[in-house]
Amino acid sequence: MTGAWALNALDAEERARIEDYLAQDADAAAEARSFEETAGELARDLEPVAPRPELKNSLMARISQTSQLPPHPAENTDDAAAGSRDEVAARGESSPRTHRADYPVADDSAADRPTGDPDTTEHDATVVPLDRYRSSVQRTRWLAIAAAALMVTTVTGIGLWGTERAAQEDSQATIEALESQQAVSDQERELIATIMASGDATQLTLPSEDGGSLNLMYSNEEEAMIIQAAGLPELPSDSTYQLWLIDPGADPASAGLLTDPDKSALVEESMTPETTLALSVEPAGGSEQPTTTPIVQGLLS
Amino acid sequence: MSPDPTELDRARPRPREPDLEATGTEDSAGAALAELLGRVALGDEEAFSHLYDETSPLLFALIKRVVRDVSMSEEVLQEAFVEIWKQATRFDPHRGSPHGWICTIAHRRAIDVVRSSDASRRRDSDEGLRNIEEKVVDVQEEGIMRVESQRVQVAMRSLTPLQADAIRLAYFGGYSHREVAGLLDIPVGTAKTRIRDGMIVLRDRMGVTS
Repeated sequence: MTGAWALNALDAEERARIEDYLAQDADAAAEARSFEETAGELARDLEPVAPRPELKNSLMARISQTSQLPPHPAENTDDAAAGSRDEVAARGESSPRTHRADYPVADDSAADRPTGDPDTTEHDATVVPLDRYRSSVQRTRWLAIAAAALMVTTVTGIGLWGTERAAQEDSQATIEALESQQAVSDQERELIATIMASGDATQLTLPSEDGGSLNLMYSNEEEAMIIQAAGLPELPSDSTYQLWLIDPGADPASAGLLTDPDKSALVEESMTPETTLALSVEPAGGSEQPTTTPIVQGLLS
Repeated sequence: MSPDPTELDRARPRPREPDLEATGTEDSAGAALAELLGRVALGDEEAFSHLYDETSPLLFALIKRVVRDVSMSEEVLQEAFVEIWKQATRFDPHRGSPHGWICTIAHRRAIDVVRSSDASRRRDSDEGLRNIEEKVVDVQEEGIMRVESQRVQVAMRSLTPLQADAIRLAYFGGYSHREVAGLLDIPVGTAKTRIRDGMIVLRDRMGVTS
């Protein structure tokens, strides 16, 4: 079925099945790859059609908001099939990180994964349903709050709790509206304002290996971070999500539990650009140290 | 929703020689694309902008060929490029050409959309069946042959008619191999074999190395 695979003529289930098979069979994988190239040659000879220029503008705006994926050891069946795990792993480590999607590869967890895992291959393949993509870029609640806070800091020049009362009152109305609607805690609002007013405010979206993602906004200078989960799978009552801050050469330090993933988590702990934020599933009540492989890892660079 | 051939002729940037060998121009174009992709993998938006300029007319043609609806094609094109942006970090020049890689991404996106939007109409109703039949007529008569370059045409001519039809329906028509089997009135297993045999011939005729 390598031919049908390369022409994308398989349904999802068949596709997963053959990718499993390709992961086991280097010859078949090589053939599949050559067919993929051949298909590309067929495309090469279509008459080019220039898309409308407006499309490019909106695309460029979109990618400036879109994180790139980390290089991945189990990135596709071809890699797995070629049996060149070392080479791939080496590439994963040596690949330069992007300036924006700066989550390091979860090397350990990725290496632990079976390379032929159909979920993995499917996920890492290029097939991402449109609606899933859309949901991943939907603005989360705190991003809306952050936008309000940003407006405030812009207006007052020195932050939400600045001295220009008029501007503050103006923005207060917006915030109150958000507050009544969305129950923003004072603490949360203050933290957002602190982060937004800092010189190194950074926004980052980290995908979870179990689906869903964490949206972060943080400032290393202010040692402040706010985390909003989106679409994490619900856990059984004997488990909880736990956040970790991991500094190089040190044991992971708990950054609190995420007992209600719908609520923002506020973190005010020591953090640097070398610190990695991680999320793991732990027994209810949390753990001293992570007991499972984190499902989210990201460098706070 | 077939492209107007005269308009396409105007849009065509350069004539293509009908040779079967990969040309030096393509090699250097491939190297340039690989270099661009490498920069895109570093988050270089300017490189991404160049990559878009270089490749979007071709990818748009491919997507439009499969999706047919223009506004839907435009959306697919954007999704494909977002995907290229996100996945550039994972492109490995040792495993395939940049051209093949971006075409795969665009084609899969196009297929996804065609399958999801057309699925019920195409598969579950009599009307859908008629649509499929009409499309086949479209594919065969009004045709793909006209927009293929001579290079592909020559390679295609070395296929049996059944192989060529199966590959065209699958790649340009966006049909699954089951649908291809139904359309050509052959068993599913035969469709798979025809597609694979045909791809082997095309690969060898077009000098694809892997």
